[in-house]
Amino acid sequence: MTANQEQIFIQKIRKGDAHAFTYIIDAYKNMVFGLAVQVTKNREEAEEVTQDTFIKAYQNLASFNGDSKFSTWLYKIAYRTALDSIKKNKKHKQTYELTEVSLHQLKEVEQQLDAIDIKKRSKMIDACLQQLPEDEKSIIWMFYYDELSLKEILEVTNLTASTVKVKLHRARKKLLEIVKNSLEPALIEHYGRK
Amino acid sequence: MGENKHIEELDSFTKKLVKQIEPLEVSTAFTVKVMQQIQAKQQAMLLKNEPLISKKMWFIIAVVTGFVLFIPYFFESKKIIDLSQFKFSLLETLKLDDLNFTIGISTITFYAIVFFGLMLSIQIVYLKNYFTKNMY
Repeated sequence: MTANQEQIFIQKIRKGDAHAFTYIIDAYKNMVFGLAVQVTKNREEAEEVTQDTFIKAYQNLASFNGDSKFSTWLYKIAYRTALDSIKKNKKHKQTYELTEVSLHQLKEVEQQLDAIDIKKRSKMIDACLQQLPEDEKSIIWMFYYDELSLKEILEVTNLTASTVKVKLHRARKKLLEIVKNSLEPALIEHYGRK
Repeated sequence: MGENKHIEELDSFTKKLVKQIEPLEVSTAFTVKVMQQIQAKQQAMLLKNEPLISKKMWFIIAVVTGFVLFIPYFFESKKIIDLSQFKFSLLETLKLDDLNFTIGISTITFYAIVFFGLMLSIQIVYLKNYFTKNMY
């Protein structure tokens, strides 16, 4: 959906055409869901969060004044809703000890990953990502998967630029460490089957 | 320099890694579910009934009606105001000391006010119910 089309639909919704909101939902539902899954770590909860996000967006559409992209505004609602949801459910935060991974080890990890079947690799990477703390995981997701700019991430998370950069850097290193540790069992399973 | 290269490599590795995750999708009837919830909330707002006459207004109407209907009974000869009880210097000046008139209402007027009040009360309730039924 282009920005112009989006504006047209938003104007229609503001004038009372509720049906126009279905186009907005269809355009952004998976994007919002993706972020919600990263924060909540649970598909069912993520879907509820996604539903709540769109309902809140509909009810507060009048407050969207076009200062930022609509997607960024929606993301902000999704992120806050997801955080509220995990606070309610009091999810246990996993902590991961950081160890340095060298450039050489990074290359090894890449090569080993390429040896694994695509589907299994995807599931494995997703499982590794889920082991990160919610805030770092969601920043990684927004930055690399949804390709939000740093400025947009700052708007969504309400964190300072230095905090986001530090979290991003730590999250990258942790993820690499987690993937490295997850590779051995995955490779054993892969070569074991051959 | 080495540190920067490491950060760049880590950055491109992470990007390549995360992009390999299969796209996440919501359930098939998601849009329908959300629109149903939105419509339900809109309906709930429409059906929120505002009374035609608020409780406060009813109270004021009752007080005024009571005042109009029952005040005559507190005065023996249906006097509402007895000016001779009050000492107004202006009246003295104008030699209105001897003024001794009362405001009274006749029996017909009294009953007319009572029936008017009754009919008004019945009609308001009837009209309110009529419009509520015919709204939806």
